[in-house]
Amino acid sequence: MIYKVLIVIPAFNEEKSIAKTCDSIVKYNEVNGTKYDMLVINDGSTDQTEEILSKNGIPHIRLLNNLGIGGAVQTGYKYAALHDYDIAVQFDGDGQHDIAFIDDLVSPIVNDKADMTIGSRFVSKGQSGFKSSFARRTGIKMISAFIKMKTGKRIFDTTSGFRAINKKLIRTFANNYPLEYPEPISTTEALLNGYRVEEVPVEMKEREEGKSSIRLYKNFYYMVNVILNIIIVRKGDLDE
Amino acid sequence: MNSQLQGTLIAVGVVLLLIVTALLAKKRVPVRYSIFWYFASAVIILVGAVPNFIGIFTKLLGFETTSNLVIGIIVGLLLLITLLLTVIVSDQRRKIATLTQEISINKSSEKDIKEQENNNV
Repeated sequence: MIYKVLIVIPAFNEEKSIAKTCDSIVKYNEVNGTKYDMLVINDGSTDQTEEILSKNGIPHIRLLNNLGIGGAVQTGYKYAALHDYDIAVQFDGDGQHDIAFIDDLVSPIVNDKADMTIGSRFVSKGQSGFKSSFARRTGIKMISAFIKMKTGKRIFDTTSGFRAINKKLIRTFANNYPLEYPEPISTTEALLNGYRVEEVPVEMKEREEGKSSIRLYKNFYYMVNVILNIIIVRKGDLDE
Repeated sequence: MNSQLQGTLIAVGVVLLLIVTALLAKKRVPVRYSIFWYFASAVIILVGAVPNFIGIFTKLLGFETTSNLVIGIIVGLLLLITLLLTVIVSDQRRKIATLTQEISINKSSEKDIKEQENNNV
């Protein structure tokens, strides 16, 4: 069976890196003989992102308003559900993620070992790459502890935006996906509702261009929000 | 509570009642939200009209004077309204996001994506 895979790339003001990111996927397909489709979600960018996407013929959806990362990624899932994709991969448009690891993310799903895979900087291998700042790592550890408390499973790289989901989760997330702090919250929701979530070691690069959606001065506010959100997640939240 | 404050409260309550009724008549406010505002104006009028009723609660709730309790009640009503508005805003945010997503998907798939997909194959 041939799996239909869609790479969803949320992009907000990524004019400097988006063409390079998409180019890396095209090259990957050429070299490896894969047929991964990609779809950039232009999340209401105010820079030249839209022009670059159109000029280079990159498949994309232009969101009429800026919805934030959660709303943008969910748009990709809606599209994937609509076009009957088997696997959707979330991939950042800022050059942080390395497409070379995509098969590591996709194969546990193809082999039905997991419903969701998370590209993780903190599980074996991948020691040479970018691991983020101390403050950020501490935050990620705290979120990890709360997810463990809530679901019984330890997820190390809770905020990683390099992840893949299977068809069932595509359909679920298309209808129901957190607008705020989507990565840790959707992971918690998936775990609580009995989906199998596995971490896969990947290496990440430091952002080349653009700003992280989690800025330093917002870190504390971010942590409080995420932890509260994790605490209130309940089984059945993903049902309609 | 002195009679001036009583008069002021009744006047404020009645004016609020009239404003809400006028907005409702012009269909600027849906019935479901007007009910809360009628409730608020009823509370204000009641406090002004029956000072003994509220006087009992003054000491009970730890207020020094009845007029302080009146302010407390109004602040409480405002808090409640703000909370309701937060709920409404969150609900609408979710709905707007869904609309944005669906419209954006439809607009895009009509033109470029299909062409681009064909190019890719």
